[in-house]
Amino acid sequence: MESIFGISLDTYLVAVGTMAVLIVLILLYIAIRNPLLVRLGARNFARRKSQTVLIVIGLMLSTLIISAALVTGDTVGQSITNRIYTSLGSIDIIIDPDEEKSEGIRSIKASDISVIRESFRDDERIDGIAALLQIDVPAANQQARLSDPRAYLIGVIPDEIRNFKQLELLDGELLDPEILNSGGVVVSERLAESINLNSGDLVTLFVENNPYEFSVAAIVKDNGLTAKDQAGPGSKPGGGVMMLLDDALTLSGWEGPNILGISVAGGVRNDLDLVDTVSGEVEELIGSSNLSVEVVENKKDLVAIGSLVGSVFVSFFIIFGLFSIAAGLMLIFLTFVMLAAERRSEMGMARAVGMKRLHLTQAFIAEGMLYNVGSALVGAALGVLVAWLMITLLGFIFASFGTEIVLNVNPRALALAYLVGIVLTFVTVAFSSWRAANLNIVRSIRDIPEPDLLQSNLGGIRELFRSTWSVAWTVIWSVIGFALTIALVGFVIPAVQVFSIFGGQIGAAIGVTIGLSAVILIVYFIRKLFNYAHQKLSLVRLISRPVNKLNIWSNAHRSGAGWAVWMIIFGSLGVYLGGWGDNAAIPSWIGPQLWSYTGGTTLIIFSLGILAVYFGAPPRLSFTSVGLIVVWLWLLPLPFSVLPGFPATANGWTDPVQGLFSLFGLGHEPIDGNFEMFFVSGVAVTAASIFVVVYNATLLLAPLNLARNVFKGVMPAVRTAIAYPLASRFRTAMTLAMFTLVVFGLVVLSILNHNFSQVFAGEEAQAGFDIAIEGNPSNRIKNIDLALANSEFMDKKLLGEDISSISSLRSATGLLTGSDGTDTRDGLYSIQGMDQSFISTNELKLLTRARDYESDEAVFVALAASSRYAIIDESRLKDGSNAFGEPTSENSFRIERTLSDIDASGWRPITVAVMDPFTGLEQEFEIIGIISNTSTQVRREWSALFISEQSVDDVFSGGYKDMFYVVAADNTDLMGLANGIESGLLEQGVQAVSIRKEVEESARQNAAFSALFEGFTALGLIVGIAALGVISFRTVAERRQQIGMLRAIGYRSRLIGLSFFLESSFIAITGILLGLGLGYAISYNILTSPEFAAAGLESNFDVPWLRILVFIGAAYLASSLMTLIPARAASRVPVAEALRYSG
Amino acid sequence: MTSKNMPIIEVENLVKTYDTGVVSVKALRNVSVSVERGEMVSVMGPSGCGKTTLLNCLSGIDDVTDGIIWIEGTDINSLSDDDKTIYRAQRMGFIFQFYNLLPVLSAQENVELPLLVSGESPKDARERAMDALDRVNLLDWSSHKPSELSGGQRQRVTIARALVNNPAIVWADEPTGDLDSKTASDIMDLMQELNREQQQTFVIVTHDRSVALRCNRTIHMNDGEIEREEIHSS
Repeated sequence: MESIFGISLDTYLVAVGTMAVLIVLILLYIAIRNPLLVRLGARNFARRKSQTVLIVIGLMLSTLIISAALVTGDTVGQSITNRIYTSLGSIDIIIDPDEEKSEGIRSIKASDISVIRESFRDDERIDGIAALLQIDVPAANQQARLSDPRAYLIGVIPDEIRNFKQLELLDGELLDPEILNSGGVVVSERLAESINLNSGDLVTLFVENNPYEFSVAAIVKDNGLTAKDQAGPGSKPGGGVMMLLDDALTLSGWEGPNILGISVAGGVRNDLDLVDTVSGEVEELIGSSNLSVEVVENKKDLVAIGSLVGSVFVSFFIIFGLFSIAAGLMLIFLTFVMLAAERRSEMGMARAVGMKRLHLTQAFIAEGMLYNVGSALVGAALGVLVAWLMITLLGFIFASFGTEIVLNVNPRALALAYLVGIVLTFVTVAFSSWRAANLNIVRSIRDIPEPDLLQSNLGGIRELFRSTWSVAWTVIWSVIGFALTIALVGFVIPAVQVFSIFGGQIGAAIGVTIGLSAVILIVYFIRKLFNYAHQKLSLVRLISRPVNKLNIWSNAHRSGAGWAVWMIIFGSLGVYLGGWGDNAAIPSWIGPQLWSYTGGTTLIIFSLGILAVYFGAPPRLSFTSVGLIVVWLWLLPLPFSVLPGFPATANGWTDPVQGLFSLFGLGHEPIDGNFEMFFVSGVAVTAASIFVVVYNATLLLAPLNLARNVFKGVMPAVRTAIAYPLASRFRTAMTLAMFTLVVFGLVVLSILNHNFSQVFAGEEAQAGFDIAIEGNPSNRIKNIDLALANSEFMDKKLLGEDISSISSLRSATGLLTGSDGTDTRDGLYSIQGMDQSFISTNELKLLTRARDYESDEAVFVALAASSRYAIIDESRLKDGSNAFGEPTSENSFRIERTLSDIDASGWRPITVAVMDPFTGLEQEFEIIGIISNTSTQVRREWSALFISEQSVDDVFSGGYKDMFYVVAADNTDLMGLANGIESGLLEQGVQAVSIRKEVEESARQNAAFSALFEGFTALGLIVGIAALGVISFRTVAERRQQIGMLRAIGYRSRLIGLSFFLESSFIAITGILLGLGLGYAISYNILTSPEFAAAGLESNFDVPWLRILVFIGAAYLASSLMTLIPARAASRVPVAEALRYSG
Repeated sequence: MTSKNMPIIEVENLVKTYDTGVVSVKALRNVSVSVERGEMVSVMGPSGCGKTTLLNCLSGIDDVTDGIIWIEGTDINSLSDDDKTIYRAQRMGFIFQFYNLLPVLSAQENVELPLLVSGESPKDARERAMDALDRVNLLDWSSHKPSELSGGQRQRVTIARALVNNPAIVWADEPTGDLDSKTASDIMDLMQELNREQQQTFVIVTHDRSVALRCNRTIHMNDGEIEREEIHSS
């Protein structure tokens, strides 16, 4: 894996490494200038061991998640790449006939081969060019009565493949291809094992339903030349039978080879750039000489795909881990807020005796980084362990695709995870330290609460203007500071370039270190110079004095209301650029379209709440209102969509701003959102709902008071358990947010996974059939019923009892041209010709039907009655994607309308001309139905244009392959029947599989992926649990004296313990319920949105309650256990000692 | 068990040793003392002489090393921790120098706490708490949190909390130590008045001679021992 989110790993490393070096230098500076501050931090670190452990757990989690994501992605990428190397061997470029140019000839023209050979003759970069014939033929060992329908025939010219060095005997010795001239064949290991062949045995190949016997000259290892790769998940890969090209052509009746393989110098793991260069030259030659071939694969592109899959995994895991990373950062922040609160009085004292704010910040940073350096290391190491667990689970999924997953720990990825952990924690620690150090000396010493910034002034419009300008001044300074920092860091770049002579990473490291040292020296000298100039030059004083005055003025007038004004300005900008602007082109610094639009709206609403409080509105009323509005905004179209009569109108109000403005004829184009909205919506609804809860907890807890007589014995514990969290709103809100965010993520993920698995791997994927039989192109079957009845190997009992019906499809590839160029895009696509049985038996689900067709049945009746009609799968729609979720290829046919366009007012049949690219024969069809993805997820051949069998015969001369589908009688052993059919049609080389088993296998893979992603997201719960632990330990220490008093006035020890336990439970349960409710609502909205309406998710909406209850039950249990320890400690506090305690 | 003539508090040869593992400090050395029901007694002495330790041991919030403490005829040390706690909740009240109110609860809720732990219904607890606050002239401040009250008001809330349960004994550790002289005098007036009206026994640890003079008797301590006793005529 070389890149994440499209940016190279090295770029990340240099960027994060530079920041890490900067951090180390800052710490060194603190340690040298103020060793006392570091000692202060170190002592706190060692003083409270259990608390230190909890903080370390909280700090390490972000690193753990990043490390696990990177190692897993790396392993997957590496494993896929390995498989690509193994399967391709030394063949680097594969050339096939170009279907559109080959004028009805399936093989490569001899003249084309000559042109390519001549162009690269004596080219030292090329090891060899081989013309090959590769076709499917069934093989059998008649003596052992064993057969393999997946075998395939390879025709080669020995001299051409000699340089490929890919004929390797089982003992590792290289076999000279000359052996093929002796008249025998070479068999690959996989086929030899499958039908028990040894050197000297006879192997029978079936071509055009005739048997041909050959003597096995040698058995060789499987590789890209000698064996076939796995066709798809769950399928068995085939083994090869290699013979002379001329013999293979005679046997098969082909005119010439169908593959040209080129081996670039350097063996299996050669220079991929060289492969790419040669591949480019070949493509250029094909274009300039107008050859009828195309480069279909080159090793560099395939290896890049492996790497891409790896980075897709990393991106997925990081996105799923975002909730946990956010929760982890909140825990760090909260921890430092609590540490600051605990030391408020001593910090006030320190400031009184002469310590600067900067010193306090430095002391906190030193302490935080002591935790950080070790915990990031532990996190990175534990990330490898988590990755190993995930890879064990992934191994099972990938094994069914024939890829072996082996843990691969890339030191660069690990270093990156460690450095990212360090940097993220540092930024959070630095911010919280700065906030903690920003205290008022008198208030701190006397322990007087800080004034509420939101309603500190109530100074009217004039003060609001002042405050707005004060914030603007702060922002200007921050921007100038940031720009200066960037400019200074720019010094690092030339240093890195100069030291690159030492080689990549070492040079970069030296360059970064020296560059940063230079920056620090420059800053130091500039400061000295400025101080000197300030003392000596009146001009400098003239400039700096007003700046200082402005700073003082700005500090005095800063308030929440000023920030609110700026939030409204930025929010409006987000709304305008996100959706209201003409072209909705979002600058990259604003973010994706929907994010900025909804984020902007949210920001504006919150700001209005702040301003309302500033102008004297009660905080509870204001923040409850804005909280509810934001929750409502994000949960739209709920609640309208669940109320009778509303669904039709709800769509227009999914965006309230749009809804409101549309009343005046104003509006904007629909807004696009990506996967990031999952995270953004989580953050927004969590924040808003926590506002509502925190400001209304007394109301929410009113029922508990009503039931006071029931809880009489524990009422004192309940009272204190509720009072404390409500009194520390900030702390409670942060902890609640951690729980809510992670539970929200988990619930949404579980519900989506569960519903998608149900639909996409459900019964619809079988389309009413039980067994699929893939015919062999070399042995076409005209009448399968007859073939089975006549087969001497077929168990006739199975025919009579187990098979209800057999339907067939004839496969071809056609060039599709829409009758209206604006409505469709011309291109190649799969064609399936249905026989009457298929038309009447299939249960393919239609996503939408042309007007006048009331039901799916009506469509199939029309298809049965006339060969004019056709149906096509959903992936051909404009917003459709293929089975892998990728958009449709540029060269393939597409209907240029989305589902909503097509569905808006019913649609006319879409006329399409279908042409055989080989013969030029053409016929027109009318598409009258679109098949839902839910029916094409497992049998990929159903992603096609379905026409009648007769039409395929007419246009495509019967197509190239047959597929058969069996409906079995109830209670049939499907595997047994599939095996029976395969044995019965041994000579035709068919492959039969149970579709039901494929569907089950697909469901199992979905379940495994779900478990993987949910498990990964659930890691974040550890943060919530650790947070509760940290808070509980801290509160026991903070309230020691109060505990003593409570014990003195009559609280029994277990009542004290109970009070602490209830307090934690209150937070955990509220967080869990909030996450559950919000996650449920958002999932419901997603699954019932128009995008998924066709899949029938609304009517089948189901919640995996058991799975969710297990997750949240375990989380609650763990958090309870975590708080039991401090609660127990609290209950055992010696009373007299506690009363003497002063913090 | 108790008789009207028996002292409400009787202590024989009380010893309290603090053992830190490194050093062993004798905080109380064979202290014997008795207090009559309804008496207002002050304990005075220099810092570290064992005044607060004596109060803690007598009220059962600290264990003793040796000796016997009879409270209303019950050997307090023979009770389990839970029984001692219940006893404190029902029969004792506490006033501390730094008030020790729960900052997150209102004045009224703070006063309710001893009643709730004694099993009083929340409704009754509320009524009695309001009565107690009325007695200390804080009815109008009942919904305020401690941070919104002055030092004198906070101490009056503490007194209301100490008396709300009609305890037999009120222990006060430096009740005026954190107050100015005027407020301290008001607080002592209040305590004297309550003592007179309700015949509750007050044991007050203090540094302040003027506080001691307002009590019936002063026990002077030095170095963990009772040095002398002083009877006041007032």
